Amino acid sequence: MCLTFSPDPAYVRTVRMVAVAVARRAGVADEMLDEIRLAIGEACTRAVKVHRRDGLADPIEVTMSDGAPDRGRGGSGGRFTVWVTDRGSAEAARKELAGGTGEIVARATVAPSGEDTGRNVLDEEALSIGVGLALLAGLVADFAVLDGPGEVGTEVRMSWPVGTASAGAAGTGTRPESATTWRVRRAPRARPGGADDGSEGGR
Amino acid sequence: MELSLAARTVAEYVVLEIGGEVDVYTAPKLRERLIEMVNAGDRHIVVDLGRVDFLDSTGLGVLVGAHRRLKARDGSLGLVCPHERLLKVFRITGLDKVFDIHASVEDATRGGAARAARTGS
Repeated sequence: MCLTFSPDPAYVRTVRMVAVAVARRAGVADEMLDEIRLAIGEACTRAVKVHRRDGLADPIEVTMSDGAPDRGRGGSGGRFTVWVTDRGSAEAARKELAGGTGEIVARATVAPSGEDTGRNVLDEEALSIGVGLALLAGLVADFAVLDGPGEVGTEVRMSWPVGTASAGAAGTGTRPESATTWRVRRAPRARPGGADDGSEGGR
Repeated sequence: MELSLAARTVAEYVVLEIGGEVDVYTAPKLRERLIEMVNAGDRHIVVDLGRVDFLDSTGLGVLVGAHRRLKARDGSLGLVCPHERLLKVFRITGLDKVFDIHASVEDATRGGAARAARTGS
């Protein structure tokens, strides 16, 4: 299924709820639903912030594949696959990824200078855009950031196994044709559960 | 608003109990409240996440902002986070090393604010 929404923070919760409902219906194990809720929320939040930063009113697109055989966007059987597509600056997205988590911690530990009532709000907004991608890279085993369609914007693609938790070894989604996948610097700490289906993530 | 905020005083601390979902929509309300508290002179704040159902990076950004404001004023920000699903978010981002995270409000407020100011890095 595919849905689009205006870059308004008020809609992100609705998209999270829809995504969890679709994932559950696709047969994703219950214990993965919290991760899916956070990850899709995070990807949509990032897209909303990127559109606000870049002054774009264009809608954000969310596509979900329920794990049925390929539907032409690189989804594959056995995986619940989600694409969140924004129209923001791809260059800025590359910088976000390059920063990794070290940048977040470094900025978190620097005390603000001078009076800061309200002044740091923008700073926090920028910070949390960076945190979002770092969080996704560390949270989701199969996570990729791709160039958006027509080289405009960014597409965040994530997938989870359908069926029991042990089905994690099933094949991951193949990459959309001719898309450029950026290298993601993972958080230093491996996700709990270790190497399950993580081989596809972060290519 | 899917967010509730309630403050109470425990010894030298002000404990802000958050309930509901902290996300890109509700986080500005939390940010404003924390800024108000700091501007009103609160220096040792404990944020209780025990009743939080959902916390994303926007919420983390707000907590980082409060941490920085309080540090700049020789204060401290403590967090109470008894849930693994929320702790995971702090660990993945490396922020578990930045924040002083406790399992309960009792733990967070034990020993007095002077201790918190020394160790709450």
